[in-house]
Amino acid sequence: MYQLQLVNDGVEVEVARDGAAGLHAVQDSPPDLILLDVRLPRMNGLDLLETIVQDPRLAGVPVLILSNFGESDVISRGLELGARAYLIKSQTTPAELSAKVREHLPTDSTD
Amino acid sequence: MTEVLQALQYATSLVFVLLGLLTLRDYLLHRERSRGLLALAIGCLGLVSLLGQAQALSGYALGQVGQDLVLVILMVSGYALLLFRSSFIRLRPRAQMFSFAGVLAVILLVLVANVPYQPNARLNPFQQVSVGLLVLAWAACVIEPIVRFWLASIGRPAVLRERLRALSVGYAALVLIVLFAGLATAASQHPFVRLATQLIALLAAPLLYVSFSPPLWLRFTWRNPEEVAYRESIKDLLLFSPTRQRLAERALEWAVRFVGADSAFIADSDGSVLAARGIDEVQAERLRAQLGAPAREAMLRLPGGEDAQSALVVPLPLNSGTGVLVVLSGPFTPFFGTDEIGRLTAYATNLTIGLDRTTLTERIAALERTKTEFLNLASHELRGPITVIRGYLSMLERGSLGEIPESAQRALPVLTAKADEMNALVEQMIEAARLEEGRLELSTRRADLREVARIAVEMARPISDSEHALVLESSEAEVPVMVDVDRIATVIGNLLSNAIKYSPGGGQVTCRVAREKYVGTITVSDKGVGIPPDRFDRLFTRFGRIVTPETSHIPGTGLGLYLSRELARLHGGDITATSVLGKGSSFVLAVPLLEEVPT
Repeated sequence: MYQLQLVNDGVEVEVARDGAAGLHAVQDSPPDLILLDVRLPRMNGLDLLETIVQDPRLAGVPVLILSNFGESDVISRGLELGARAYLIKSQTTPAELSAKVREHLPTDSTD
Repeated sequence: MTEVLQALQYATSLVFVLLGLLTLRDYLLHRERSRGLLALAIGCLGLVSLLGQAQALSGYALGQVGQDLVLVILMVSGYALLLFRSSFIRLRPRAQMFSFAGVLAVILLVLVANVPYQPNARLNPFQQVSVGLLVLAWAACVIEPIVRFWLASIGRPAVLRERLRALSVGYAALVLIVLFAGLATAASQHPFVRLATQLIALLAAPLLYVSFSPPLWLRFTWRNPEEVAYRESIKDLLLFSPTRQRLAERALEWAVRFVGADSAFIADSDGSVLAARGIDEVQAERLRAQLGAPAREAMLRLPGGEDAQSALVVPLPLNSGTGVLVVLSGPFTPFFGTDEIGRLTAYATNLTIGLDRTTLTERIAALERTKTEFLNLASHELRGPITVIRGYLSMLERGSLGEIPESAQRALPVLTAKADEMNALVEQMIEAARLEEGRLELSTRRADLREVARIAVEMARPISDSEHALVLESSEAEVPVMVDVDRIATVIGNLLSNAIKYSPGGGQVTCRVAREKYVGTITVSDKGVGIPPDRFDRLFTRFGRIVTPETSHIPGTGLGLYLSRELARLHGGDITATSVLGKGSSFVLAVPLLEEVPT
């Protein structure tokens, strides 16, 4: 759904099905922006985020969290670790997400 | 002097005869072997004293036979006391045989020696030795129990402890007298010594009496210090203890203390051991199977030869069936007095009530937990699919998924409204689960309650219609509060949506913001169906929906008001309601005003 909206809005999207695959993908070819869920198989989003922010090659890549997890402690942990925004799925429409993504994308990467 | 002495002698004899008769009565009332032996021991002492007096008064009419009889009965009284002791703390068979043989030998010796009966006759060496041996044998029979009873009294409940000590001290006094009279014959004839002897004997009598039959007032006096502790323990049983097992464990602590037992256990109605103390659970389970479940309290002697224990078994008539409280004696705590048994039986009643109460509260707690778990699970599982539905709906509405026919487009707002409604319910469930697990954290900031109300009213506009005019009335002055704006807006929104839902006939819904002395209030009033007075107590309970024929078609989880009030209370405020059936309801949300120090 979100992918569809983003592609519609002209964003190139690569999807990883679990935390570990996500880490491989971003390490193989650093993207312009990372969109993370918290509850992920094989490596949860917060651990993944911690690894990403410590990786010098990924420094400066904005990370957004999009999750159904709305607990305040998880949100503040995510933001502490360096996520630019924490979006709750039930409160964010695909269009709003797309707008947020485009807002955080480096200006030169949008077409 | 002689007259005084004579009178004292009569009194002593009388007292001991009386004591003998009282122990006999006690035995006849209860018919227990141990009481019989004590009656024999004390009765024989009375008889010795009586025979002595009879001899003196009758000018030694009974002659040699009388004298021999006195000595034999004295010996029998000592031996009876040893047997009395053995009925609680069993003597080893060898000791039993040895003591019996010794007593028999001494009796034969004394009979052979023909101890003279005339008061001033001189004893030949053989007679002296045999009398000395008899006195020593008597003393041995008596001193052993004296020491044993004293040791057994340590750590026992007050009444039992004092009874054992009274018996011990009473007999110790008698031993002193007899040893002195038997071994230091010359000195014991001195008038002052005789006077002292009689006085000691007179004092020993009441001690012996209270040991087997303490009067009620004395029991109360002894027990008084324990009463406070007892009451505490009852309170414990009836009010505290978080789990059944913990309650049982604490009850055992007390039960053991009350009767001064060594070990005890409580078995549940299904036979499983709930708690055990001083005995391991496997042993306890075996014992429980052996004992069965008696209909009333019972003292049982467990098989086990010399070291046989007694078990005091008290049934616990629990709701789920009959459980049992078993208290076991140990080597130094050989028996339980009637007083202790009575008290333990009364305690068992309270224990039964306590156990049944915890069963109930545990069941309720488990039910509450299940509810919360369900709430948590269901809400999180529902949230994912609803998010996807709402996401796609929003994309459809925006045209992100391409053109859709006009006829289908008309369905979209309805679908969105229903999906939003569902989402709101799921959010309520999640919020309720958070609240119950203590995970709900407010993020408060300074706000104007009028502004919060305005946001809430705006959010409620889409669900109102032409029949429900939404009116916001705000105070002139600012209403400063420290609140979690999102949550208070949700609370007001809840009250508004309820007001609309429960006025199916339409009518104005008013939201009035006011500033009072200490609180800011928001009053939401409607002209709807109202709340039946008898259902008011269910209004703010979790899942406490009030369903009447007029309202049964109105959807809701029964969480809204519960959550709203809990949220208000988390803010230090509250929600109250008034209603007139058929005329409408009014809900007042109050939150503390922010006290701002003027700078």
